[in-house]
Amino acid sequence: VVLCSVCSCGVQKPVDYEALQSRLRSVLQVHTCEYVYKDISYLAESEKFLWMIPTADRKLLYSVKVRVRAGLDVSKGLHVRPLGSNADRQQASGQQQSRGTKSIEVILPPPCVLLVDADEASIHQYFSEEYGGRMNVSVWQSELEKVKARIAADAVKRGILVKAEANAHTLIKALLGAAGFDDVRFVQSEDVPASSAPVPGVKP
Amino acid sequence: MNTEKTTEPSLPPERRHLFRTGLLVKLGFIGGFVLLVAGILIGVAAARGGLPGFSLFEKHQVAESSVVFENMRDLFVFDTVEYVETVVFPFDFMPEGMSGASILGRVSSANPQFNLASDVLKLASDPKAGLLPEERLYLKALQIANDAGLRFASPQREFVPVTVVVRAGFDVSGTPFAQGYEKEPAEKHKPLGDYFKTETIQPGQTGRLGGTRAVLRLPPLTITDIRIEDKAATPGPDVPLTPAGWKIISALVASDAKSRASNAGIIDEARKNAESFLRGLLLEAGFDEVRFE
Repeated sequence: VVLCSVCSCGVQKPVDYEALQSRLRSVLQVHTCEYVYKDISYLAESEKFLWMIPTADRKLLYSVKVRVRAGLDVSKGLHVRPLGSNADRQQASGQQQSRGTKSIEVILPPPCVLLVDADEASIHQYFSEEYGGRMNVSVWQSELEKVKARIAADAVKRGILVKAEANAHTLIKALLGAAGFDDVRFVQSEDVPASSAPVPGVKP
Repeated sequence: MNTEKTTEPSLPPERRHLFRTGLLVKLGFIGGFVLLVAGILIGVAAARGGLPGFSLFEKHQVAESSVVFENMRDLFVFDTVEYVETVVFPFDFMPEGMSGASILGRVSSANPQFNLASDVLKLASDPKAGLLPEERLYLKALQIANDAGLRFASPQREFVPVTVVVRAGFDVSGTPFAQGYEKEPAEKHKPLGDYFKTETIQPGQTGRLGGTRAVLRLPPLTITDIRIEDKAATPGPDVPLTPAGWKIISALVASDAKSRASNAGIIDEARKNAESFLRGLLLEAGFDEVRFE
């Protein structure tokens, strides 16, 4: 033991792979558009005892980048329905056969905001005045949550969902085009209306 | 006969006046002191939530923020699995039976070149220091907790629960899939052939009567995103911690989670899920068989 501790050749703690695997969860999300915002927040807190004796005076100024990602949550259902080739259809309806174009219908969930996340690595703290102790984590984090909700709303207003849907169509068209379907038609599934799609990280 | 009352000392009138005034002042002081103590007790009780709506402490808060849109980018990322873990910083990095003093003591005798007062992080990341991975993490957590001002030692025992999410899947941003599909000219969609081929299944081959097989080559499966949940995970204490402190704690938790997610087999699971989803989709599209290369 002494030799091992001197030589630092101790035995590494074994990795509990089963416990780690239990933390894995399946998701099926196609992220197709990202907007990045910069939030600059100023927070101040002061406390006075008997309305006149200052006991705390905290001031905080920091900035952080917030990214909003939108796309499709495919776990809500993505289905395809081959419509056959137009040659088949023309033949069936007795028309003269032309060059075949295979068609497929894609039933997609509506695009939604998949992520609103403050990037911790981008935090820049300009100053923190700490008379009477530092500011509690809940104070600035709850303000950040409010800012995130505003940002998500702004991203939707700026058309992130429209752009995300267009990019998702591009991707699916490429995949099905490579599979031989030249004509891809998109239909939005009725199950989940876009307006009710949850925004992760933002309380309704 | 002396009829003078004996309750007050026999004093001349001017001294008696002074005595009464002094008595009133003393009583006033005692009363004031009692009120002050009561006020403090009520104030403390109110500050701790004992008396809702009443406090001797006046609190004033200001919160202002300015949000600027910076940029946008197109993404073509398909996430198929996520690894979620909540760690309690710093205690999850400090296994039982390990102490900073013993690690530093051992290492300082073997490596006198390190200035332990300022080089703890350097020491923790130097392979020559001969530390075990857990010991490196311990020292990093120790230094970061100190830098963040977290008073984790007794009696304060401050800690922060942090939730980290690691996602994996594939990113087709740099592939022809991100360019879309155009039937004509053929050069436009030719590169897609590197990833997707169709084959005719000969009758009798693999026991089938015939049909079409889709052969896919998936882009490399990778970790696509590591993020820290922006709110400290609950339940947890409301500790004094600034954004700068949260930043350095998050960086350590995120870097450590990446290796644990890899150990959990996140890439294999991502491949399995991606293949399962695409197989289902292509079978639904009419292919008889789907194969991944």
